[in-house]
Amino acid sequence: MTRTAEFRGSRAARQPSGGTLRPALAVLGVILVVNLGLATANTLIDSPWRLDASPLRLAGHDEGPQAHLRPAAGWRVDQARSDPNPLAAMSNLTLTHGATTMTLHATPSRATPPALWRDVQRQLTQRPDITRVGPPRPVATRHRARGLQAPLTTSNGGGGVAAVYADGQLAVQVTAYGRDYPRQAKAVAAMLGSLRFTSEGA
Amino acid sequence: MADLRIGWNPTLPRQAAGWWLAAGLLAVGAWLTGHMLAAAGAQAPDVAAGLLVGVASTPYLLVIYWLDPIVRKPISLLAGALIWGGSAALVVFQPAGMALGGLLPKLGSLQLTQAWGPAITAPPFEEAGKLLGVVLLALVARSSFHSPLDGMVYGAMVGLGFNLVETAVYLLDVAAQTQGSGQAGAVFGQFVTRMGVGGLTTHVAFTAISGWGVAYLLTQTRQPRVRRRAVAAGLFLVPVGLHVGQNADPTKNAIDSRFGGVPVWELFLGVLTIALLVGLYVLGVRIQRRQLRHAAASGLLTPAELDALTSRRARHRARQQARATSGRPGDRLATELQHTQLALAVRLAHGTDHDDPALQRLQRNALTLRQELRAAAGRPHDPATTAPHDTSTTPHQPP
Repeated sequence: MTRTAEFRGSRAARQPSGGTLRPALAVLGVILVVNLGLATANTLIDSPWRLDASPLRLAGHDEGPQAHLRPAAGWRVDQARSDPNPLAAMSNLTLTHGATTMTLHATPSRATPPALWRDVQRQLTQRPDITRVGPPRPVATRHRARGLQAPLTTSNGGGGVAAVYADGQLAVQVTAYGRDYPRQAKAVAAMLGSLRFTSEGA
Repeated sequence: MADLRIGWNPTLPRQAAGWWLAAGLLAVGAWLTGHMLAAAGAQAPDVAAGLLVGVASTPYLLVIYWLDPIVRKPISLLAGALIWGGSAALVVFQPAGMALGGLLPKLGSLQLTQAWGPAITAPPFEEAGKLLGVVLLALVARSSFHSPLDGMVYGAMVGLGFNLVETAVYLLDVAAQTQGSGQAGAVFGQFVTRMGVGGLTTHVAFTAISGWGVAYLLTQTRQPRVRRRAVAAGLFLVPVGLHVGQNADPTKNAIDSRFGGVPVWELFLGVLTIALLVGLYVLGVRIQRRQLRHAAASGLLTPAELDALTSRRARHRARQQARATSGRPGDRLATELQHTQLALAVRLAHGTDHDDPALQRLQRNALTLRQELRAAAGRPHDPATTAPHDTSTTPHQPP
């Protein structure tokens, strides 16, 4: 027997919690409305970085020993080379879809100030072999940004720039976040979407 | 003797909507969280970090378990709160948080997103996700909520679960970042930050505060509804505000840089959080004691017995006294009497009807134990307390 004497509830005290249907439905409703409402708003609200259709379905699961991206139907992984360093897991990935080849380059950094991406954009724009450059996009997910509060760095966020080469190749430069593949993949999808190359062609 | 041992209530109707909702969300949350952690991989440092977090959580568990001086919480509900915090709370509003993160650069700017994204997108959804655990506990086991302290305890447990898993994820990240270069030191530094002072002044405290508000809304039914709702809403918004403050990097950097890098902003928020937590705890204890006094006013407890019930120290002293006069049997009887009287008082404070069979059984048990204790001490029977108390003539004075 315990030596203390706190009331620990009795079976009789724990009366059946009947009548929970309405509150439970209310709770479920709040969860659905908040999540679906914001997700829908995010999808519908247009912006310079509007994503109408991502040509690649990118997911955060390892489909093979090297690539952390899963191409959608019609796309084929030509080359996927990864680095043993987990931060550079998506170091180089080439995919093709018909005549279009896309190369993903990853930068093993979690702390890229926005200005860096504007510089990258400027540099890409000045290159003669590049015809179009997408706007720099932040990789602004909550988890990612919070992860950057680690003492190693003081700057927040990552980002990326997508570009189309004159020969039709696409290049996407993003910050890599080795252990956060879903968001990394989402960021890449965002880069691709910023170019709208499915509707306009590469 | 009254049956005081209880885990999860086996008589709880499984068809109750609240139970199914909580079970479903917990299952989905656990699956998603497990998936997230599995995707992070498990290397030796990660396992070590996980063990470190587990060990460090022990003092928190003990403090939370002993937080309520009167009502010991069922382990099953505490475990449910912990698991909710470490699983479903992390993901239940994650889509909304991510969507808001996507909306920020569209509606605002990249600069706004970079600077204020964590402060805008994380706090409301994280705090809501955690508080939802307390709300669902109240749906599933409404009768386990007697005073605001109940919400504080369950809320703290939810916050602890949340902090444990979030800390584990952070440690995994730091371990990956610093692979091969001062990894142990970096992981340990992050660990101390998250589980030391940070552990007390962040998620545990935040949800303890908002849980207090929910329990106040549910239990203080004699207060005007508007007031109860205002308290609950306010005590949800306050932790959200504190959380925003902690994630507000521009403010933090600006203030800290003024003081030569000393984390003044974090200290200020930490002290504010602790002060609020302590204030609410003291208020909760007072409310609990007032409830007991009202229960005692119905004549079922003597003033001396009530005094002996309202704190651990007083109860211990009463048992020691019984042991001194009646030996070990006296100690045992005093303990049982205290259990029964507390059950009685809490039930009365909860507004249980005096005709309730369980209440009457507890009342008879209390009278019997009291007589046995007197007999063990060699004192004559008190006729006034031998006969069962006639509850039908006792004016009921709920708290």
